[in-house]
Amino acid sequence: MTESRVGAFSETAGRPLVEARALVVAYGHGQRRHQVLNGVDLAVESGQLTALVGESGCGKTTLANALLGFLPAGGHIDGGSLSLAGQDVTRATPNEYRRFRGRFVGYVPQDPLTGLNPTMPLGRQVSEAVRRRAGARTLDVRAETIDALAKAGLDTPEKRLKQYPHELSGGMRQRVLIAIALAGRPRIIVADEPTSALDVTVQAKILDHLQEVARESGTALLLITHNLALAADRADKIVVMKEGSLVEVGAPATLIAHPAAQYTRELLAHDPGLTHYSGKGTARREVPADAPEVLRLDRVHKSFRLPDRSGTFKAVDDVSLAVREGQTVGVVGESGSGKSTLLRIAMGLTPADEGEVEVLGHKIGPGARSGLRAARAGFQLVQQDPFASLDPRFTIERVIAEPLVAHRASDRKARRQRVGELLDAVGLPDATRSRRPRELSGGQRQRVAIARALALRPRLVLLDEPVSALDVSVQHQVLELLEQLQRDFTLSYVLVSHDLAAVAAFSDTVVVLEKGRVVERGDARQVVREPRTDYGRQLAAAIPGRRAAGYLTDGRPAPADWPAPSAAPASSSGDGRRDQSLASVANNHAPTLSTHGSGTLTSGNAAIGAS
Amino acid sequence: MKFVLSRVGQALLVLWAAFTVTFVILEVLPSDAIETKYNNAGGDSVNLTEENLDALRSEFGLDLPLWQRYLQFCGRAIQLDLGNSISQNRPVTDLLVENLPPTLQLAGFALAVGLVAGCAIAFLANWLRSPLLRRALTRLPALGVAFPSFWIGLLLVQLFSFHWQLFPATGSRTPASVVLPGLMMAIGPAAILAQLLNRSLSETLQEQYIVTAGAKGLGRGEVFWRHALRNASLPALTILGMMVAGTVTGAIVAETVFSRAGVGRLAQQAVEVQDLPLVQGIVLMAAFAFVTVNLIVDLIYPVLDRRIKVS
Repeated sequence: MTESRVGAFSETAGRPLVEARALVVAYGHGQRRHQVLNGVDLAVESGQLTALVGESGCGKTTLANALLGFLPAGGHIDGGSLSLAGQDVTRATPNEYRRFRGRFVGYVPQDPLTGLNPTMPLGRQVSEAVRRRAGARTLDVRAETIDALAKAGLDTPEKRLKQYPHELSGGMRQRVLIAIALAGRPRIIVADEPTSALDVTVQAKILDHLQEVARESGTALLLITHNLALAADRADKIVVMKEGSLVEVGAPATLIAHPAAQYTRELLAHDPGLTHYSGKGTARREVPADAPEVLRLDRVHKSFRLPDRSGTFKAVDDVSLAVREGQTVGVVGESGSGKSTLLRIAMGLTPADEGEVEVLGHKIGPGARSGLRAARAGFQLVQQDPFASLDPRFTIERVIAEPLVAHRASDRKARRQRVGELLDAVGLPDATRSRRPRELSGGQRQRVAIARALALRPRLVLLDEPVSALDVSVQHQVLELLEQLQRDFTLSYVLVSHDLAAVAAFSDTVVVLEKGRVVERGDARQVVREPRTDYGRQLAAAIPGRRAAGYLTDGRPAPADWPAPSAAPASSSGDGRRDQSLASVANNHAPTLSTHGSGTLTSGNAAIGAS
Repeated sequence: MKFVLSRVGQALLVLWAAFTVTFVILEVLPSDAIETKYNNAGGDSVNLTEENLDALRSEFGLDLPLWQRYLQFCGRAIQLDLGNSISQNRPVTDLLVENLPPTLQLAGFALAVGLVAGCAIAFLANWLRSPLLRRALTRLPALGVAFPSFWIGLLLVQLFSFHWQLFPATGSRTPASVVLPGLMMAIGPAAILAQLLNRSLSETLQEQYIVTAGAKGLGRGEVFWRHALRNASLPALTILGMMVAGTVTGAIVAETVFSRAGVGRLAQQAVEVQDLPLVQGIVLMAAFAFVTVNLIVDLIYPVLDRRIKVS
């Protein structure tokens, strides 16, 4: 380890590895100038994990790009200073920056599916980075490449050398990217949402591993994330950003227990993970036991033939599900769990191989076409991505009125009036009707999608990951809106999502799918608090915010009804040590900082006790 | 191996289809090669009777029923015997062999120039830092596509042979004679290639893995050569077959404008006098070139991009 440090960056003369002072970044000049960072201070200390937290557009990725020297065309540093390893790089040319990349600062990108060159063997992609290491001429490149892959947690690393990215799963590709970042033996690794594109259980494992190798080699980590609970679980220091400015900086213990800024408090209050671990959240009202069933799937099976025709793949395997009027049923599963197929079967888009589907009292499926037609107006879908689900050429009025036109439900005047009612119901001003989708934010677009779904006064709404494309605070608003609408119009929901915490907070009952089979079902809180199966425990343990929620109670150990620590995915042995040190930080800081924090945070209907 | 065989099979199928379609089209056309040759060619010099014409028709096998002629034609074509040219009274194969070399020189030169120029424009449009030059290079190919190639050919002759007297304007004997028609033929393919490659290169440079490569500390050149060019060239590779097919029509225009001997000229003459066996032979040869290039591209593709399954 020590000899690898011999190089240009062994000494930073007592200064932080990365230091930004009043850093201003802007795009364009003169009238077109658009400032995206408004004087940001950032210091990353050697060996520490610093988390940069904020919602989309807050400038966290711009800041990371600036310190890698990767500002896109037109972007430039317009004020303040930036130094790497104690050397001022504020005005560095691309070639001067190059010296730092790989050797001083490594980079793990957001999306492992696009982060690797599809036409180059993995071994070469890693060895390129090994060759850039200081003193690489004397290295056995092949051995070092295998070593980097092994360190990143890939099994049989020598076999990986000749493989191509498409032969690996997303999680394994992210490990290759981590190997590339490690291969140059950098002093700091910048990881930009490194796990957002992965399944939740894989996310936790990859982050655990990245954190562990960084700690072992003394590499600092700059973790960029939108998830405050996740940051608080792992970081030594949290930097909260909003609209290009710093909001708050602090150790997780103090920042969580005593947030000074209103914005931090909002983020905390809306975090589903924290809400879950702190045991707070709204109590769901009871659905009467004699309420009629609006959707019933009875022992449904669906298999697909594999593309190479070598056999079949069971996408949905013996799944039963019932939704009663006014009820919300959550369907949770990772990619490949069959949740999307189940949704398609419930909508009559994909026929089931076996089993019965009944929507609003009408049987649908092969041989029951009339049933689907009769039920069609009574159930609607809200899709995941509001950026793709609205026709960009349509005005909002036309988008919302489209189902009314399709079902010839009313005349023009009545439609105009109905659009007004619907806009009002989803909390958008009436003037929105003449706008087009691109003029709206993600949250506003999802409101429009919800209004469209409600146009025909359905009784059942199927929600396919309705908030996962949105920012945390907007997620919360949209979910609140959905609850409000459920109360007002006695709607029933099926909520399909990969996010167990969000689903549990929003649903009455939850079904957990794994490889097409139901592995857990029952009361939403029960399932998330006391999962009965291994897979259920893994999913619950992957909800970020466990340690962070501990800070809310001043570092006291977790209550007994939380998922047992043993259920956590094989995490590092160093975690305990870290827990202790952070807990002591929390204890040391709490008294002095308690004056900053308010006693209790309340926002919306989620309240979190702060001490 | 199964992949290779299936691709070769497809190629043969395309060849057969091209052969049959030309046969049918030329059969449907309401004209008579014999009449064209003997009665219209020399005005009133020879005037053959109906019987004489019939005798000639049977000599060329034109009196047999359609399906019989088709089968006969197929059978001979397999043995590389494409019959006799009606207008020139010589084996089609001989005519092709005779006219092929100057056309191959011309097409080879044009393709080489087109390939180099197209790649260079696309590369520079993405490599240069000056926004002005980049924009100019990006817009340039549109001009190449917009101007008709014969007009450009005439312009080239005007400047390079009449005005500066650098290259000969006509003929096909000296190596220098290939330059002007070659340049004229190269402009179209170069423009199309430049447009396609430029677009795919600028898209590739936006990819996340380009950032990954840069973050390793690789220089700009290394990122370009190792990571961007190979991925960007994949979509461009598919139009290589079209470019080769384009040289056939290109050669017809170029050889006419520059009065060169060659297959293009031969084709133009053969069509004019409805010389069915000759046209058929030329089409078959062009189809063969097109199919071969596409076959090579198909076989190279999975080697360059492993995501394409070879099975």
